[in-house]
Amino acid sequence: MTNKASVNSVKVRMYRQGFGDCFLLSFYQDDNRIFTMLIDCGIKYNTKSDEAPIEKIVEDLKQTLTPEGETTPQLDVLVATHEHWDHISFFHPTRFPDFFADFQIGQVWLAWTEDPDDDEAKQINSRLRDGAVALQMAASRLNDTEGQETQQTQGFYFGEKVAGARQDFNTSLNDVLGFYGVTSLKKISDSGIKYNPDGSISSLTQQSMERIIELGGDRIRYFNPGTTVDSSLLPLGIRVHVLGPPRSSLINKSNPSRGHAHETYLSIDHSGMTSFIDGLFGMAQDKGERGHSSRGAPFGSDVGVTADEAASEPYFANTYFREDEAYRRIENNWLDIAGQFALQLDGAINNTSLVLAIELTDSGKVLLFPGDAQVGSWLSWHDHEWEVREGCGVRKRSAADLLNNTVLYKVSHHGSHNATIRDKGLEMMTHAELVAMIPEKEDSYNGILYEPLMERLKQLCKGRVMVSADSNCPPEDLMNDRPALLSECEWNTFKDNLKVDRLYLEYTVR
Amino acid sequence: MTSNIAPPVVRKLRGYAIDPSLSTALLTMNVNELVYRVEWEELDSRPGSSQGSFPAGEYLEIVDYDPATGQFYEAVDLDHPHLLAQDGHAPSVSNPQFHQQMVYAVVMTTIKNFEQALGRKVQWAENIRYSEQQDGEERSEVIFEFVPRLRIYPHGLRQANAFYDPNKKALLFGYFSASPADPRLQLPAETVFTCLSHDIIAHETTHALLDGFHRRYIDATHPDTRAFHEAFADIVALFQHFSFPDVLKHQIAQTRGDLKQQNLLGQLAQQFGKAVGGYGSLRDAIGGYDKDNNWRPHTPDPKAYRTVMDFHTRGSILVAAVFDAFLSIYQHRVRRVMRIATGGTGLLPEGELHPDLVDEMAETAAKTAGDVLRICIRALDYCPPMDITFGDYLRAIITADFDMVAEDSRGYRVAFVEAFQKWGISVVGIKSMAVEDLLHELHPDKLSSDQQKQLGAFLRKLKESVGYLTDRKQIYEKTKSFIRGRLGLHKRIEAKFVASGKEDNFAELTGLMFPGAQEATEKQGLEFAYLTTQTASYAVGNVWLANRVTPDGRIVNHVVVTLIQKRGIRFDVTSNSVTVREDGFFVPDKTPRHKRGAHHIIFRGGCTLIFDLNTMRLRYSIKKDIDDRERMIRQFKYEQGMLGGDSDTYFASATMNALAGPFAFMHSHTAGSEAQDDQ
Repeated sequence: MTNKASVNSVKVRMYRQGFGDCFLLSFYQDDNRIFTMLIDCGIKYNTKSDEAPIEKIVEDLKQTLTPEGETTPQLDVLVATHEHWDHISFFHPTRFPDFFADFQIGQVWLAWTEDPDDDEAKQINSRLRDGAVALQMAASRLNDTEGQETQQTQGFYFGEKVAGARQDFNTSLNDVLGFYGVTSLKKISDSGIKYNPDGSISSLTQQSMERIIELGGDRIRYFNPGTTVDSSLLPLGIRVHVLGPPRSSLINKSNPSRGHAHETYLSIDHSGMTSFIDGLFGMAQDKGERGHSSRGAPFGSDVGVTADEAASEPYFANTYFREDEAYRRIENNWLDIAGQFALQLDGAINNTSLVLAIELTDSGKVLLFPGDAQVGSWLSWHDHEWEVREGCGVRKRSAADLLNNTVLYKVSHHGSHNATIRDKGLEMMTHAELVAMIPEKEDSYNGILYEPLMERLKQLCKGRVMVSADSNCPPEDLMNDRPALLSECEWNTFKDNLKVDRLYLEYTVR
Repeated sequence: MTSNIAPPVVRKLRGYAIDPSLSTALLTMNVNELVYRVEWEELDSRPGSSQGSFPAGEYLEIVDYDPATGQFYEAVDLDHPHLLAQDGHAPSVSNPQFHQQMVYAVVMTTIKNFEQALGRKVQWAENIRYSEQQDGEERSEVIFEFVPRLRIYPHGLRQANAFYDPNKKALLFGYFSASPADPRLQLPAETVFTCLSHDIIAHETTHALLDGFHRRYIDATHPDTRAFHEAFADIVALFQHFSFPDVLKHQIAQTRGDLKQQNLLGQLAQQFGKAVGGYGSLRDAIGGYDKDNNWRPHTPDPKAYRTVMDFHTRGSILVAAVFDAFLSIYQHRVRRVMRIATGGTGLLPEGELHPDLVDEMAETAAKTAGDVLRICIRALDYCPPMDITFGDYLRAIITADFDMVAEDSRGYRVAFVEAFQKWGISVVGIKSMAVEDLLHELHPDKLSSDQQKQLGAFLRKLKESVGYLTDRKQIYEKTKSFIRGRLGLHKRIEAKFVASGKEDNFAELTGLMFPGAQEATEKQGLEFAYLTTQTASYAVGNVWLANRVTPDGRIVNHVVVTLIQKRGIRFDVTSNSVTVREDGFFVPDKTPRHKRGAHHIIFRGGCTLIFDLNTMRLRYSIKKDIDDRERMIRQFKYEQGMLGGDSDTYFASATMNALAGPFAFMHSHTAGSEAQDDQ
């Protein structure tokens, strides 16, 4: 890039690989591309697309990023928002070793939560990873005992319902687990966990993130909320403000009275879940597997007898172990909370998303890329102000300013119900040119797309909502039929700025 | 031999008065233990021992299995001579046998409160199984089975949660490491056991008991139904707790100046729920702490009942209303004590209150709480068998209390009506919220006096053969035999009322439908001639005897009968979900799922009939019409989430409900943690 060139338009290419994020941003001065940024590249676990296979997409990335007359693709910035498979799977070192190997990457941008030297981040990550592994243990045990439960409840009027519900539950659980890529771990123990030689446990997403850090080498930047990216790292004409992930201490400090007991940021609710996690690790250990020490037992070790011993005691033989009362056994009930735990964990990791607001200096227009940030993160944005130099003075930008000026909103978390907040979020996006991009595929998860959110987005964007891979919302419709709220003139402008390709949708912000 | 010594009347068992995690808080320090006086029963004896027993009695069996650790904890021997001599184990967090003792004491206390209020033995919900399908049978037979004992697992879960599992007929209690918002309340990383909280045990036991009375209350057919299950369980826990005078004394002595505002009882109520997060939520309705950390009761929001649809918040409205009623009754009663103590001025002197005065006030509060508890429980007999609303419950409370105390000299009924009104709880289909209008119509005149006498004669026979039984299984079997069979109640109702040519009267009385021949019946979505019927089929749900002695010495001698019909209903919904209308019917048990249509519900109607054996007259019919269009559409909209409420995401609530029943995830610490927005 040359220092004199100044950005006056951005092409945002949303790839259509399926359920997952992959965005290529090309910054232009007139017809000259002067800066490029790739935000995430991933897909839902165990899925692929026939229409837009990832090999073709990576090929397209290479072609697009290789300057004329050269042979290697050049990317100025790679952004990895957070550690979920549908955002970073294609960086995996052994599954996709070739994909980004030959890229020349200028900088790698990550959230402070990935910083190996940050104490708070270390703590959060070890807790999140423990949680993911515990979940996987619960899921594999529930999967294994599905048949047993069905048998025990057979003949009861509720039996069929329980069996069906268990299947749905396990499917959902495995879906959420797919975010971490842990379902694929080789089963080498009863509880299904793969242990590294040093006793640590790893998941595929962790390995992907490690590869990204490797790609970045000494050109990695970790960003804190409330900061603005140093202008020396950027071409003229744009600013990049960092909105999230929040520091939990900061949240607590600035909002003492808010009392959001229900969506505490980054917290795996200790009172609810620590004992549960401990129980799972304890279970693994009791089976003679390697694992954490047995924690959380409610009484001393000399209290109680094992099931085998109990089965021969008359009282237990006559109650718990009675065959005709097998339907009353409770082997797995304590694991059912795994569902809620999974959601909590999922939300916590989503909230570690690096949230970027990219501002075009001249027009003040903002492109908002929140990753999968959920409620807690959104709320925290309003605790900050961003100082920007204007002429000789300094002006402050609030989160409200940035939201008011947002013209392109990458919809958080694929359009789920809890990742776009209303009053302090979406309702503040009042710019007349607002468009939304949703990377999502139909029937991937229950509740995505969240219908009421979609309705409201369509109203605010006057129909200009682009969905990457959902057959229920084909982008061709936007080209063929004018959305009712859009004027003929607006529609023509929109069509000029939108390119629909088999592999991607590309929208130009001018 | 000493076998002619009568068994004791009560078994005294020590227990926590309040959650042990609260006992470190100074405020409640001297009241954390009390002795539960549980009606004596013979427990299952230990083999090879002349004295010892297992914690398994008439109503329950405690199985202390902890699946997370794979450990079974030894069953407590409540009949060990050493324990008999010292009122059981000393309260202790680290002794699982004490935990079993605590659960036993509270569950039994709750059961006995119900039996006392209702005047009969309680039963658990039946098991329902399908028989093996025989060749040529259209469908397998449904078998109902008596469930003698509620199964109780004091350490069955590892979470801040406890629940009643209606499939297993079991209570599961959890334990967890505590880290509450206010660290002063608990030592860090202390293990909290939900099975040591009186309120949680009473709450979950109440779910089980309510399921035993009204199996259909589990169905979420109205924004009020699940909220009612929760609120009712909370009401029982709260007022049972307040009925121990010792619990209140300390508070009354300490906050003497506040008595006029009556804050302390509400504050105490809320405190009970504090240690285990989820349970405090319902109580939050009563009040909260302001920014100066003073407790203030909430001002009722009369709009909330109409606008708030999620069942937790709705439930809290009912709890708050009943609590309000309790406060005004107490206020009225304590005023006299105050006047006596202050020589008529009502102004208390400086300094500490006289201990006798504290005792008297605490007794008054405890008695009032006991009264409210019994009123609330007794009302169950006057509730419709399905689709209950808060308004139905208010009418039940008023009518039940009218039958107990004809003259409302203490103003209880007025207090309830005013409190419900204040909280905006409305009642559908009455002229006004006056007590007279809320009372169910006495002696509905749809049956001839001959018919009433015939029915009465039959029910008297039932009473004679069931009324004196003490074995719950015999009561169950005998009652069933009176319902079924060639000469049973079911058949009799049909012969006397349905086939008598006066079925219109009977239908109007009961809210049932009898459209005539098979074709006409099935067209209406009702099954024809299933089991013993020759008409539209219907079920006799419950037959209960209610034997109560009123405060003025009369004997109430009622039989409560519930009748239920079900039909499948299809709906036509416009594409934008604005209009919904009924679009034909189907017979649920004969229509496979894929033939029911995209939009359908299973709809139930029927009634609770209360028959007075003293006068041989039908006293009340409390009905939910099976042909009520408005109710159909409302249920459909509610089930579709069109009335608002919780939205499903990854784990659909239907899935969670089917796994372990609707209660499993209600109190869980993390339930509903997926917040929508802060606004």
